[in-house]
Amino acid sequence: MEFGFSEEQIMFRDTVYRYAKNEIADLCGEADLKSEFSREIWNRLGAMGLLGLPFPEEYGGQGADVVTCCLSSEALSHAGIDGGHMLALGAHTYLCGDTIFQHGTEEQKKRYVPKLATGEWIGCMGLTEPEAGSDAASLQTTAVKKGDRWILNGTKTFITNAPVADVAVVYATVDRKLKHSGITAFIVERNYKGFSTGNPFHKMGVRASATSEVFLEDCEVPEENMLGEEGKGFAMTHQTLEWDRSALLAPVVGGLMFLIEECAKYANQRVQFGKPIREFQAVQHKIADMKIILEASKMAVYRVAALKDAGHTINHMQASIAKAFTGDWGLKAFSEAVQVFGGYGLMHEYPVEWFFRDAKLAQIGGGTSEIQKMIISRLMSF
Amino acid sequence: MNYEMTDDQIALQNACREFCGNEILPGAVMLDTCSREEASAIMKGNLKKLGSRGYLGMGITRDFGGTDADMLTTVIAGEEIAKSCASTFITAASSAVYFGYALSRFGNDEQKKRYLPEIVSGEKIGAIAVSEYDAGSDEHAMNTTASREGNSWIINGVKSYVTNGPIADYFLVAARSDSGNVTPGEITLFIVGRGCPGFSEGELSDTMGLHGAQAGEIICNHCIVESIDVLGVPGQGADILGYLKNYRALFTAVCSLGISCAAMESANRYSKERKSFGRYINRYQEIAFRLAEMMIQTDISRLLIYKAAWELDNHSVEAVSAVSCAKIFSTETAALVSGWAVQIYGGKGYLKGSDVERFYRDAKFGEIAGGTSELHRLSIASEILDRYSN
Repeated sequence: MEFGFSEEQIMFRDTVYRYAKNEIADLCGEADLKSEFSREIWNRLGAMGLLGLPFPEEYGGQGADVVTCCLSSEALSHAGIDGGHMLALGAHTYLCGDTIFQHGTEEQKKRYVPKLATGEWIGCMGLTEPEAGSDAASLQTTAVKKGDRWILNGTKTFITNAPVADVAVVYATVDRKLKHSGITAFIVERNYKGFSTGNPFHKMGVRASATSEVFLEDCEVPEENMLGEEGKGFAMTHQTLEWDRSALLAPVVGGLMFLIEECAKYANQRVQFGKPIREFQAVQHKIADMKIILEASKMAVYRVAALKDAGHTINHMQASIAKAFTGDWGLKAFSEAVQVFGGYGLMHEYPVEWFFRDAKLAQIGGGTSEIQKMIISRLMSF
Repeated sequence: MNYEMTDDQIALQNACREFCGNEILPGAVMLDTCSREEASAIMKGNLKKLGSRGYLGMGITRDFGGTDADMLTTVIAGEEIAKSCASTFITAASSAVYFGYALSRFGNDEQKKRYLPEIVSGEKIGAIAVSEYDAGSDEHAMNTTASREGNSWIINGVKSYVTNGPIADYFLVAARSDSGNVTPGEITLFIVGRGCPGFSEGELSDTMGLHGAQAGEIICNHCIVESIDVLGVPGQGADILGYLKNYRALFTAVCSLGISCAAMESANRYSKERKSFGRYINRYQEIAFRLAEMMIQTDISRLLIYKAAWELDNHSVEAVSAVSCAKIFSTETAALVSGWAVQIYGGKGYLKGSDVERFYRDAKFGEIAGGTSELHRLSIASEILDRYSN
């Protein structure tokens, strides 16, 4: 076992951190306040190549390994990038872009991946439906082959990036009776006939990511836009779990780093009863608890990443532990950070306020904590 | 970055698991419930068994009978011992790690030759005597004194809660040196044999748990120790205790990890055998999710312990904080997880003689020993707060 990062990884992380701190972080508070996805932030992320990290250079990416992808997301959050834009990045690069890269034909990859890698196009992934959340296999959206097209009908909901996306990976069933094995993926462009998106939802957290429904009304998808094989879609959603349980959790790790620093600075400055509040053991204990949760989350998240880099197929026990722990304990830590700031912690002026709201997502998105515990308990076959 | 154990580590883990399952685990209930005399005999046997397999010499160089394993490898084996019997683990750690490492790192060749091979083989047992009734975590409040007289030191004082007190052959006794060429008040460590003039055993500690790891007072009443039995140099005691602090915290964490793991596995097995209202109880989410939570926290404890051991192996500046994180999380987890295990067993778990009842009593030790949770939290926090104080 070797828990250190390579020098190259550390240098890359430092570069991302400095860039984000100097060029992006100041824009994030306002984006959250307005609940607006910021093209400016997006373009700056794209300019550094941070929207296409895992893709090979020939597809416009940086050929980064999974650990490096996680380090990048950790560094961005550590620099103070809001959870909304981090989620937008996650859905775009890992749930949409990488799914196309992994399962696409050469033509599909050439058509979509380079544009996604630069951020010129924005991607989203449509799996969840109003009646199919954690139980994704029960999805109702249908795909019927008619001539050289697939006709898609159904409604997707809670789709991150949908209001701003140019392209979507959409899951539909070719035959509901087949359940899992009927599910098939399609690449759907915004301008296809019958594709539309709803108004952005007003959300508790990750507000600067745009989320809405996706409507497929006799949506016409060219046959060459089926992604992967017919009936193989459900397996593809499972592959994205590796990203869900690593790179999409890395912002929690970076966010904890950011808030521990913010709390430490604040506790040194804020004077009550004649002394800085850092002198109070209750404050010290909160900071210590945040640090423990940070270290634990980091170990759990990078374990998933390092094993993917080592070429192992996903270990569901370890992946679900990373997800459940980071979600449940992460939220406790972010809550403690608000508490250190007291009344100021409730004010938007202090990032702890929006980081706390953003953190709730980690317990829900990409498989709730309860689903993780269900998976874990079923795997406890000893 | 690589989260996989080496083939050697996997082989060691399997061998240690099998060995402890066959040789140590069967005596765990007996150790908890039998008389002190019987417990002493079983425990001495356990240490010889562990010694015969090399498990007591993992951090000790080969010159003195050890296997020179790194800390990461040591904690992998340690978890298996603790899982089979926490009392045996604590006894072994007090002897081989706290006494053994201190000698290995600070002893001179004579001392190492004399004591280490016997400690490593399990033939002799070591202990460390630092705590006093009014000086636990705050070791500077210590009252035991050592005065120099010619080539000897005269030690006076009472040490309390000394793990292995009733069974150890050798003790590392911490005392304030109040004369000689040492600044008054500085701490010196002395190697004191059970047969040393003026040495005696005091009251035995009647503990909540870890009954097999017997503890008690040791009394130094004008105890005469030769100068050659000073560990390191006079006045170096605080450094040596500082060096040991990380190991004491880490091994306390490993003990807790073993308890968590044993409690979680036991409750998991039971949940599949026990029916209630017509269903196996693991079919109820209350139970299944609780078990999942036990699994999560046990696994996270292990990750934090591996990380801390790895930082220690790398002599990293992050090691102290990593050890504290591992220590707090693992010990608090063991207290929670063993309590949940009792809950899952219900009435059966409340009975004396049930494994989970023992785990529950054994687990509390971790939050107190090796630096309380409170002290480790303060240490983590002040390091962070100091870094951002401008």
